Amino acid sequence: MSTTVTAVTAPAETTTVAPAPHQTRSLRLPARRAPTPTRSRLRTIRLPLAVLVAALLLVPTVVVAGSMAAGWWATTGRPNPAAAAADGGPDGQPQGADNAETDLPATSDDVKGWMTAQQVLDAFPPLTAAELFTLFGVPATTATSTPLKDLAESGTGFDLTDLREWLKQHS
Amino acid sequence: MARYATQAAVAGIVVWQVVRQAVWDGSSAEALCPFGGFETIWTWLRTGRTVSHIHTANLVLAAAVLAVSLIGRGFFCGWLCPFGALQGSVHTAAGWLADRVPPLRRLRRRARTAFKARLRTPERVLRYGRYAVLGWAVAGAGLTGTLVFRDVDPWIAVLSVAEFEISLAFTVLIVTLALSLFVRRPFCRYACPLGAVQGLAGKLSPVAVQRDSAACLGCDLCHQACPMAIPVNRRTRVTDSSCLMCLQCVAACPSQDALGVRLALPIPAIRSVHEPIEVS
Repeated sequence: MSTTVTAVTAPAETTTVAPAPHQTRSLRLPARRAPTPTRSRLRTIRLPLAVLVAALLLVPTVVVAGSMAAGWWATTGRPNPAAAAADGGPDGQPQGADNAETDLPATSDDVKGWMTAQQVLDAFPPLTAAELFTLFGVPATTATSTPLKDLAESGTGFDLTDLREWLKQHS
Repeated sequence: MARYATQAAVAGIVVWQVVRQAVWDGSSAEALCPFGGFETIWTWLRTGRTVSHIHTANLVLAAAVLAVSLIGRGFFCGWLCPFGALQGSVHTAAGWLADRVPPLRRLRRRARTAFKARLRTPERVLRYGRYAVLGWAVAGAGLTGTLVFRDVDPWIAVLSVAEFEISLAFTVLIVTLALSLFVRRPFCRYACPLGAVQGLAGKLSPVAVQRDSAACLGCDLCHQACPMAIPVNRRTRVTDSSCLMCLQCVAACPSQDALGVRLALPIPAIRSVHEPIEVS
């Protein structure tokens, strides 16, 4: 008769393993990061998105419409003859025009690109067409009805800023 | 959808104005740019006249944009600016194309990864560039009486695109559109002076996107949706000066109450001593 003896081994010792550094990192505040508060300092109320968007679209619409009604809205420097016959804006300026401009520039600063060479000659009498064209390198055969901006874009070297400076110095 | 419709309507108004100027030689399309009002403000206050190329419409629009930004931060940028819409459209089109052409998708992904890995710090510094542009444009116009920014303004190049003139402004436009293929709204982020004005004025706004951390899932979708890359998921209130109030983050949030627009009242909130602190 044989007997089998089974050795009884002692239970294995349980060991605790310290958590890896990446597992404990979430418990520490990052070195230079302040904690994010979960509430704002002031009390807040929720705004419906549709109301917010509608209000914010209404603001510029009201401002633009109000300025148009008051005569402050102008998108061109040229006077509008039709509007000039109507009541002017708050400064007595014709509606649709900037700076109460008339056809002729009052000073060198009022010389605009859409004005013609003839208008400049009429506004600054001692200046003649021959002098103007010679001074700024414009061909003598150029018509005086040519807008100044066309002269500037024609590649002759004419520059509106130079013209204004010259008129300021000589008027 | 409402935002796209609004942007399309504004773009339509601008196109109409450009056609009017070209065909009837009347109103100036540049008169619809609000930044012109800020450039001419000093000259207008001093002399009663506007700088060349600027009209009273520019001043009115500048006042309107200022009023909007005092209430709604960068709402003009997010909902009304046609140049921002153009950049967004280019980026969206590039994404649509990249989704269908694998080499383009890989190129965009590589560019984005390289950008995040190497350019994060320089990118943060570049964000202040728009304030430098603002100072230069406004000071230059006030001191010289001319629009110094106009020579490099890509919006002028867009308005003059029919003239096919290769100018510095046109070059800036091409660079902006090229960057838009990879980065959302690059001009808005780094160089727009009007955005800088709104960013400064928006700091006074009581309205902001607010996140409820209890309802937040931490999914990062809001951060990915933001065209200005604001980490919305790490904010309680989004008071960044670059916030466009486009509400893309709110639209992208899958949690119903996590993100919303809230108006701050001049009343302190009641806070508990045992307020949980979230560490992100």
